[in-house]
Amino acid sequence: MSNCSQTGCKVAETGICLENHKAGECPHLMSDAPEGAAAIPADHTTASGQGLTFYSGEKLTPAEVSALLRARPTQVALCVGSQSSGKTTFLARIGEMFRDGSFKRFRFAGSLSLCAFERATWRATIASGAARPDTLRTRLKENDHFLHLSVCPLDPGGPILDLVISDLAGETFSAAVGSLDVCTELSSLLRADHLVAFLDCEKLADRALRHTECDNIKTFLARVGTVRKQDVGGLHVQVIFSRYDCLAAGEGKKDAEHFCKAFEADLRAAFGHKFASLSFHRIAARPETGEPTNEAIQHIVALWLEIPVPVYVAKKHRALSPERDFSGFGLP
Amino acid sequence: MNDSTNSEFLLVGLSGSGKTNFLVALDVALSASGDDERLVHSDLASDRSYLQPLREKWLRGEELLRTSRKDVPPPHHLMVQHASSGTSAAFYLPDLAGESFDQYFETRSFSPDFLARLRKAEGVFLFVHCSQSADHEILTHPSLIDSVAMDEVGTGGSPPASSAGKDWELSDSARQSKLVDLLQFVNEARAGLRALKVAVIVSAWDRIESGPNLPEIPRQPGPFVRACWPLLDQYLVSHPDRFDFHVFGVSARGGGSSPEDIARITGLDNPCERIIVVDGAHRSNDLTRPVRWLLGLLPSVANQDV
Repeated sequence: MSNCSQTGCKVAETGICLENHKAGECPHLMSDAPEGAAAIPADHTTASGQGLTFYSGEKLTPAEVSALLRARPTQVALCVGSQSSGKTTFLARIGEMFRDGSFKRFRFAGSLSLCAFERATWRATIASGAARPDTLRTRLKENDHFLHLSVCPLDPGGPILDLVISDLAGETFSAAVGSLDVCTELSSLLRADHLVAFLDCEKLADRALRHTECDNIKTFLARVGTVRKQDVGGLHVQVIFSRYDCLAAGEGKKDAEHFCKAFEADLRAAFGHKFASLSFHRIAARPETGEPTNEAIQHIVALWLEIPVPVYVAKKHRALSPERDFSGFGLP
Repeated sequence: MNDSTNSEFLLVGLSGSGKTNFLVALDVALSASGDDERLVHSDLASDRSYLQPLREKWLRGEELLRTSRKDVPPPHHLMVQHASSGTSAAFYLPDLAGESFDQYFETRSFSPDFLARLRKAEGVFLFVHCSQSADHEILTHPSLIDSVAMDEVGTGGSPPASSAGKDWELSDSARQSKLVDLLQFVNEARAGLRALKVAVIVSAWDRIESGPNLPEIPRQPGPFVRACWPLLDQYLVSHPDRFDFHVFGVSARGGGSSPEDIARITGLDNPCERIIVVDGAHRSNDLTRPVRWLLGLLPSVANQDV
């Protein structure tokens, strides 16, 4: 018997509903399915009794995102970078900008993961009771789980565009830099249309840490080339100098910016010809001084949405393995 | 004009969004005579045991208690007549407690009863309260806070500098996220059915009109929802094929609950004069106007951007 969300209702133990609802008809019964266990069908709903149970509102599981990818063209973005490099804060800020209506080129048209966006922003709200804005770190079990957004271009009559975004836990990023096997197991990396690599500017401002930060990104991009093989030419890569306020506020700003430029040139030389595109961006999603770089963040989202969805990837994998729809996503 | 005797409209809104006040004031407004464009009662339902005491409280200017989720009243059966077109309609208006909609959001499900009503519904009144925050306020970084100004106003109940805050729970979701998710549920539940008419009711509109004139709080209902409930507005605008919506600013009570306000609203000869309905540039005390819009009896609605 499912638990009830009503305080004092013992229907789970006794089978007697506090409000005398018939079995299966109480609106307060909670699903007894374990977290992440539900394989949501294409319409994201399940019949329960004569009522309906909808999607969880949390990040989409691999099964759920596969169903979405089968249902309609959807852009897939993967954010990677070291711990505390600002990946989740960046994604939270995207949600906040749709919620406060400040997105200039796109209008919010829906999300299957509104609750996950709420969770990502929570520690930065007054209601949370936190003393200073913060973001919860992505947990390991959230790898290959996705935030979802549907948006419309502001131009009237524009089509609804779908986007799913995953952020890799910092620990997994470090492990993937060190191990090709870890990279190979990342379904989101195999399927991504966009790879967003975060460089933490706080580390770039520290002479003792900056080379490691850059080297890890460079090594990871090299691993991506190995893992994606010939398919790497379809991948768009955005390199983000994140928490840029840390550089902009530091004493050695000029020196640090010079270092960033040199690293950009290094990456262009090494990977500019390998990926479909390679671009560089400077953002501060929740800066300690000044305003968030909303324009730069919106520009990155526009890059994700305005590039046509490469449907050929799905067709190729289906042709190779028709019984494993979206086998390219790494699903059994 | 829909002349079906089984039409159904739903009142949808979170706790304290003004659903019951609207329902009771509508019942009073349907008793008023005068303008042929307005709807009037053509008959009264046999069972008015829930509505009648509330109506008496409303007429006395008393505040109405929130609807209990445990004592769900039967759906109100309103039978109305539109004099200028000579047609009549009847519809059910169940007064569900706001907590029920919180529960639908938190359990991620619709009960069989609500689902059945939703699929039959001709339209929905979607309530937001003008004084309730649509979203959580984002924390300002401590380094950006003017410490002198903070010392002057005091920190009130702000947490100590070391506080990490409470863990997020589903119930902590912002109101506009809850409403948008509920509309997404509605969209899925009504898959294959025609677009749903949604009359967005901004409650307690008198507070907007009597409050300070601020650019961030527009005094037209449509722009108000666009500015103050942006996620909800964007979602509705993005789905014209699923939701046909129009925004009304409504004060069903007509004022506050101070002794002065109560004296003012009960001092009017016609109790319906205390009602405020704003629809684009159109302003009246005709609470049947949103109903007429849902029934298709307002062929041209005012430009919301006026």
